[in-house]
Amino acid sequence: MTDLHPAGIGLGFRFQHANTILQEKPATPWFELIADDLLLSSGRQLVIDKVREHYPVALHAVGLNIAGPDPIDTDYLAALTSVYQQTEPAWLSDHLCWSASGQRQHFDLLPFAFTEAMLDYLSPRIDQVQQSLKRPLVLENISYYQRFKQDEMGEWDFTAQLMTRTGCQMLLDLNNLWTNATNFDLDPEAELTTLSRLIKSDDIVQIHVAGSKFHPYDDDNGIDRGSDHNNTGKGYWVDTHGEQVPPEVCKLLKATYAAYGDIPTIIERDNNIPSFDELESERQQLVETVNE
Amino acid sequence: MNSKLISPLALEQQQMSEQIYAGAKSGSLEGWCCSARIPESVALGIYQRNLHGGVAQHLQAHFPVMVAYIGVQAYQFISAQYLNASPPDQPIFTIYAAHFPAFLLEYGEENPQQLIWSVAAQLAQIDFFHLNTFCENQRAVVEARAYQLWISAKSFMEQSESLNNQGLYRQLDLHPERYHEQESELITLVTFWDNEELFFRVE
Repeated sequence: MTDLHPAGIGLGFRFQHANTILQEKPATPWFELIADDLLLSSGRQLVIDKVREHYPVALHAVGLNIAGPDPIDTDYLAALTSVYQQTEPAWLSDHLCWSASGQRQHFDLLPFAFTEAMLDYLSPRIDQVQQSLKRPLVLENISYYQRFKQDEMGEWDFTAQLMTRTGCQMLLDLNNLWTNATNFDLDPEAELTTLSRLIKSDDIVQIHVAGSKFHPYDDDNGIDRGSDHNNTGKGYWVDTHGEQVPPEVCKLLKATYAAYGDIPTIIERDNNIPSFDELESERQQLVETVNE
Repeated sequence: MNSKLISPLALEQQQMSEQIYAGAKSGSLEGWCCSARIPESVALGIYQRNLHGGVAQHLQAHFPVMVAYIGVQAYQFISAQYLNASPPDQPIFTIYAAHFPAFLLEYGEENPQQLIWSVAAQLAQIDFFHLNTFCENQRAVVEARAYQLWISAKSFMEQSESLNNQGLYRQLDLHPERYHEQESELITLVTFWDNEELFFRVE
């Protein structure tokens, strides 16, 4: 296994690309692996062990349900810890959100109100995960389509306080930041400035970049006319992570590097996944753009 | 009990979860604070579409040949049936996907006049084995006739740049009635590695 730390702009590893990656050994500097793909003993870990021989990796999970109303699923946490120990990634991340309530799984990233009480609630849950992993948990900011009247502070203030209390770290998803700011008529760059004032560089270990899709909204008859690429009218953005990284997010990435220095970054594509060659080409183009 | 162990938003989270699962019966939630771009009903609709569309999309990734066989409309119908009849209760999606072939089989038994579901169940079983097995010498026992259909459908998918959304089953030689005419022998598929790629052969 290689011990190299992730650096530069890499890609999210997807199993449908495994053969290409293992056979061609592309110049991608590192990969982020979906931890949940490895939790079942289906032999996928054997594929990952081969990837680890050539590339630095980080693990990314989606099922911790860290802000959920139920106790942390200890079976899930034990499986996650086992995969973490076997894979030996640079870090393991999940999302600052909830994804299940009772017997209902949503397989989605759902928001909660930023309150003191939630800080109190989350801190021991994060400690529980960190004790199991024996390292800081990395948490990603999510996209959301509504906020709560109970909010007592802003997202970055909440995140900064959580990191101070627990020692957890941050995965900054710039597409989520951009999508939220745009949907709530805020300036994305001003949001990034606020974030950089509250959260210090050592606490952000990774960046995601991705693309969203615009949905025009017909105000007169209330009919959602679906999505297209025309973002000039009235409408909203849905975080699909299924589009190319748009220029606005590239610009935010450059601003983040300017504020914090280089932070390991990946292009995250969860839907509408193209061939590996197309993704790698997009990655190389992004490298050129941020170096301009 | 330590009060920190109870989510201060448990009630709101439960309500939001119920509203999202309610699907088309959209409504607003007290305490939500939306924007000019996203009114409350639209916000709830996004989460509802994320759930229903997300489950359909992720299931499709596990069962590509079966979906191509039954077509987009039938697939959207049956994936919605599955979500309604058997909401996911565990965080690992692959576990939820693993039970889908059995659901198709059961649905086929409940609707015997619709032959397509029992054929789809067998294709789904092979799809799942194909996409979720990563070690050598893993075995799956399937009907020879279903395997032959899976190979034909997959070959058709690989040769055609754009598939007809109506489903491959409409083609005469792939029609489900052809796969219900007689008993089929059982065969065992076994996985093996070759040049960093996992294949399977008939044992």
